[in-house]
Amino acid sequence: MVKLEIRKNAYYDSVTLMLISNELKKLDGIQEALVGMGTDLNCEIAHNIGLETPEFKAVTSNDLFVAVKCEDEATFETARNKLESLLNKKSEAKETDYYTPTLEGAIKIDPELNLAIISVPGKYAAEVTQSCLDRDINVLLFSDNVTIEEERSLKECADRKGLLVMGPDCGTAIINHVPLAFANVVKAGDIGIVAASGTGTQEVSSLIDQLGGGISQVIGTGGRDLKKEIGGLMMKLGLDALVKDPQTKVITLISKPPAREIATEILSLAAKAGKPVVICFIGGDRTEIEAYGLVAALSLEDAAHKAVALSKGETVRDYIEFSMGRVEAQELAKEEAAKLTKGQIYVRGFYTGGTLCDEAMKLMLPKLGHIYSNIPLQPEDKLTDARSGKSYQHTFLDFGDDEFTVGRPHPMIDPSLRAERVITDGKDSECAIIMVDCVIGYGSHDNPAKELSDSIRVAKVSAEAEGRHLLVVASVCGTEGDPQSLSRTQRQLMDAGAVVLPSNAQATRFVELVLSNMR
Amino acid sequence: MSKVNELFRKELHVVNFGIEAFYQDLTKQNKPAVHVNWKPIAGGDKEAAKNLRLLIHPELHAKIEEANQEALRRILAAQPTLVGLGIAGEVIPGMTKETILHAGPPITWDRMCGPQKGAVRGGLIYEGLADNLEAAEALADSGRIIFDPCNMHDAVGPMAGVVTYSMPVWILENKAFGNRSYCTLNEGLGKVLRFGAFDEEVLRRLRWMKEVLYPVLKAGLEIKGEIDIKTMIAMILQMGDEGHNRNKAGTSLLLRELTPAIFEAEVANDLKIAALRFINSNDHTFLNISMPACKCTLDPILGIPYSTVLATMSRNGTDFGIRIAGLGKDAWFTGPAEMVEGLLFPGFTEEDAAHDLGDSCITETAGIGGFCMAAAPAIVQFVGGKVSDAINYSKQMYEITIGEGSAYKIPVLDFRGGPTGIDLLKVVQTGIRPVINTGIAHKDAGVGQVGAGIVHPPQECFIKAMTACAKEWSPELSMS
Amino acid sequence: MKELYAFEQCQMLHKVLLSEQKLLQVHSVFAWAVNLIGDDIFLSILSGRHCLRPMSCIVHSDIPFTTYGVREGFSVMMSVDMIYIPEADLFINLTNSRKCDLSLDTLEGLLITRTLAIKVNILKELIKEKGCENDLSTLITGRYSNPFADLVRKRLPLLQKAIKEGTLPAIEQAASLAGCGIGLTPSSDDLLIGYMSVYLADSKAKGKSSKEAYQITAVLGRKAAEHTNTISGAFLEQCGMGLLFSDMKKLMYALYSDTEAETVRHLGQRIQSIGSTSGTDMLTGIVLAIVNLNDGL
Repeated sequence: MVKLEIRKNAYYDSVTLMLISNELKKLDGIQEALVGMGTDLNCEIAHNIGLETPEFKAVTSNDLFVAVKCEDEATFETARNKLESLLNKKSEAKETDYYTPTLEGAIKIDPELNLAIISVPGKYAAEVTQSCLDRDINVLLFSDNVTIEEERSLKECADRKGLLVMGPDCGTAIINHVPLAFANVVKAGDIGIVAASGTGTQEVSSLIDQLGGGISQVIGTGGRDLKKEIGGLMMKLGLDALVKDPQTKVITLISKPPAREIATEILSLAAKAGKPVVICFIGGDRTEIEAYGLVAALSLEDAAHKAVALSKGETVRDYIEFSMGRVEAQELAKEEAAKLTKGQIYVRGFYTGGTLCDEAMKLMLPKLGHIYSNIPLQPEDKLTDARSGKSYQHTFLDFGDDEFTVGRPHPMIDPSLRAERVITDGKDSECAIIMVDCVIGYGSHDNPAKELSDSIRVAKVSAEAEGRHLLVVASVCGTEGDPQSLSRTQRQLMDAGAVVLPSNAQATRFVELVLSNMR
Repeated sequence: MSKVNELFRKELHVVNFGIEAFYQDLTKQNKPAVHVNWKPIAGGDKEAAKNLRLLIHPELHAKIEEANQEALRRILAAQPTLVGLGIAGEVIPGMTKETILHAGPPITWDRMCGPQKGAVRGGLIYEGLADNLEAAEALADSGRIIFDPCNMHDAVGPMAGVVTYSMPVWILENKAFGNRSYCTLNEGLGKVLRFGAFDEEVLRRLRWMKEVLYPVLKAGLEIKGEIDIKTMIAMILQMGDEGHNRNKAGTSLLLRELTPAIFEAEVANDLKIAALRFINSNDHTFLNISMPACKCTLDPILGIPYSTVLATMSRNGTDFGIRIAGLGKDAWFTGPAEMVEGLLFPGFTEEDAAHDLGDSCITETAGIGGFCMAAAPAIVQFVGGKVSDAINYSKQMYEITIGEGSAYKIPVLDFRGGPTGIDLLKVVQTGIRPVINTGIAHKDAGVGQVGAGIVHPPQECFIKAMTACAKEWSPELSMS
Repeated sequence: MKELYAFEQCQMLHKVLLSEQKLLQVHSVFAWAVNLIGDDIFLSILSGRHCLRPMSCIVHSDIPFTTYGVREGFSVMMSVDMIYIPEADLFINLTNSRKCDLSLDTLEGLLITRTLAIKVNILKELIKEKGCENDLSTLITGRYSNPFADLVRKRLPLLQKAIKEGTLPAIEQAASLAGCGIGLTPSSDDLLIGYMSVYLADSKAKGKSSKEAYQITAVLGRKAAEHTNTISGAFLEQCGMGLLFSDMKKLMYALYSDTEAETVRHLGQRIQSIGSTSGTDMLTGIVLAIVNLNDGL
């Protein structure tokens, strides 16, 4: 088939056009490709080399055309995506030559700036944030190590002005459908989120996307917003904005359980929203939430299911099922449990997302009794020297915690420490199951599944060499639209022999099934 | 509607500070984004960062920018003109027989550096206030002598900058504003008073300058009439001078203007010849005219409320001092004078060098000198040897200035106007300090010049000045 | 307001602006060039990365024009001392720019020397070095085959003949060669530019009537422009009037004077840095023209 793509009155420099021509010809399934300005002669040549299509009639000599002969629509789609990315490459290069040293300089380049992403070292972050607020610019404050006094003063100022200060230590936001910092490419829709947690938000928003729902806005608040010192200033401001936002039909709030008086304040505000509100206080008590007439979520996954149900006008139910089906999950669990040898009794969880680790521990604590961790749920389960020491019984580690990030990037950017740990614990004869997360999307490593799946292979092979079966249970947080692609990421992990579940919560439920079958 | 809901209705325009990948992710998606190449303000000085932020707060900053534009307007409108010669005590305001003017910010006798002390002693002997070294020393120490900066008396002085009552001075007038400025006649290189020398040879030359050179020049200039120095500086920038460390072209042009008139003057021929020879042999004659030209250019900006433009930079070999247009005439902000980096004449080592000295950096303050280094490739030997270094120094100065010269232009930068009007805030914000071309004096009195190179004002004086601006103008600080 | 300074401009542009002020529109924006279009005028603002082109000025800027917020469709005011784009608040000061004469007509002392053949060989080497499968270099080297070159090869004799005969109907027919090839300026347009430049220089060197030569190139340029896009068409028309890229003008002088042969290599390489294949295609046109006009050398 012959397909034609036309850009009216589009002028690109010759270097770009040449690059496009060469790159398109290289694609699989493209038999012929011609890129040029739509002059008579060029159209004639297209005709001569078998690229004729009636659409050429519309082409003038001031248009850029791309004609391709390909096998099917899908190939053409690939070619078109390639074209898009190559044409945009130009704009990527456009500003690499010169960066202004000051905010004033940036405003001169673009006077319409309305949001700042700030990731400078923590001790300078408050000044930079304040200078943006002075210019009525909303802030996503990625930096950590901002003092709580600074945070309060910034948020009070922002609150007075009606501006957002998302953070400090806020990794995720999606404003006007633009993913900021660590965020996923989700469909546009009517579910708005205000969240005090980064990977928790990524999990909920990605699952909403996977369930066919869509997102209006995702506002981050930073982890300390619901502490007494801050009083939930940004959670309240964000909630208010979503209440007034006509695009938002359903609101979802995500946080660890807040201080009691703050919880009361937030819940009573949410009760007056005039829109359905799903509350996900990870591991919190549902009775108080429901007493306000709000929808309580059991897990991040459950929050996504409930929000989507509300958005679609369906009945809201607790979701504790398996996407593959309970029977199938039970059988798979039985099968896996049977392969484990007698001495293999412990579960290890190695996470790059802090909230995902926290959630997994909260969901599994009743079953496991003690979970040793660098971010333990019970003080006596604190694992000292988590980074260089050994795992102890059931051990869950958050690789994004300070202890692991001193002098190195966050594990979502550099997943190597976690990958090493999978190999180390795979050698432990008492280790039965290793649970891992894999977070994709903007901000994350280009292909985090690569190193992880390599290490899973190594761990499994070395266990087998000693006559053991090592079960690796993984969940991927992300969407099909992410640059790394959900299905590609899942496929890589499956190919490495991991059992891949669609959510963190399902991964914990699956592991519980395996454990039940072991006894 | 709340601001957040307003944001929801607009296209997102992002500014990114810090991790560059966040910016790249946005450009990959074709979203409008600007990345800021952020660095900690003043090397991470939190107090300074806060003061800066208060000053660039939109309301106040609008006032500051308006004031700075006014300052720029005045600097560019200036018409420095050579109008005559006179005797310091008779023309410089506030001079007495016991007054000694010196270069740099205010300083007491005990804190003066070697060359300046030497020049003061020489000045006292020249004036007949003391007969010898010991007497001069005692008198300087006695408290009977008034020491005051040249800059506080509409004057400027190179190196030690000592001006005493009976010294002849050039008189310049800024025709656009009517203010005048004064500077002594240049004595040449080597053993000279401005480098702290005061032996008999030095004193003899000073007397000769008063008795022969001064009357010849005065008579010549009276016949010639006023000379437009602004045009002359514009020309010398196109002839390889930068008006501070290289003045070959300037001195030549001055001679060209004066020589016919001197011939006409009714003075004995041998005196004319001696005077012309003296000027001809001293390339730096023009420095003592470019300096007061810059001085009278800048003085009208002192007292423009809210202006953060530097009105003065000067140093006394101990302290480096600056004055800010908006903070007025009496507010000096100082930091320790730094060592000059550059090339030392054969036979001297870094240990021989004095700290940065003199009022001559008034030229940089007005936008020439080091700021136009790219115009004077011949002096690149002092700054690393490459013409590109000189060009880069000039280019960098555009980052800290508010405008560009309308008359003073740099040929190699495609006749771009020289960077003009140093903005205190930009200096702190970018961490780029003004660059000054300067000579290096020997640290001991009387040895003379030992080299030349470049130097910067210490960061401290900018931080102090900015703190004062914030205290004076920021509503937030003045309330508390 | 952002102010940029032009340091060089085409003298013809200066002359046009001397007579009247112009209201224009931004036609297209590239990182290092902005094209402006008006009723009867097409001109460019270039960064120092380009050599001066006809009806253009070069400004001092280290920053891509896109960063200044210039977008297509913006209106532009222009007079002899400034270009102002109000929507981008960008002001280009023309007062101190050097006015460069880009017309071939004023080039004096052109002559045919014995080194011309050597110089042509140098150009052929350059074409061989940088030519690729997508351009028209194969017309010289015979190394590749591509549909553009195939078509141009077929129609080239028309041009060669028309130029030799110098009859206007034949020229008009030959102009249909334009608009063939990849790139913003299709390859055959670049070839025509090289070809016309040589034709004008060659005629002058041989002392032929310049009026006649200009008549032919003017028609060729104007007709060729009808077969291609606005930007490329503007270059063709300008070239037809004898206005050349500054490097092209220098190259013409180097070819048709006793300038050292090595200068030709240097200038040829500079021409080759234009666009992606454009420069090489121009050189191809130059070689074809010289060979054709000088009995195969």
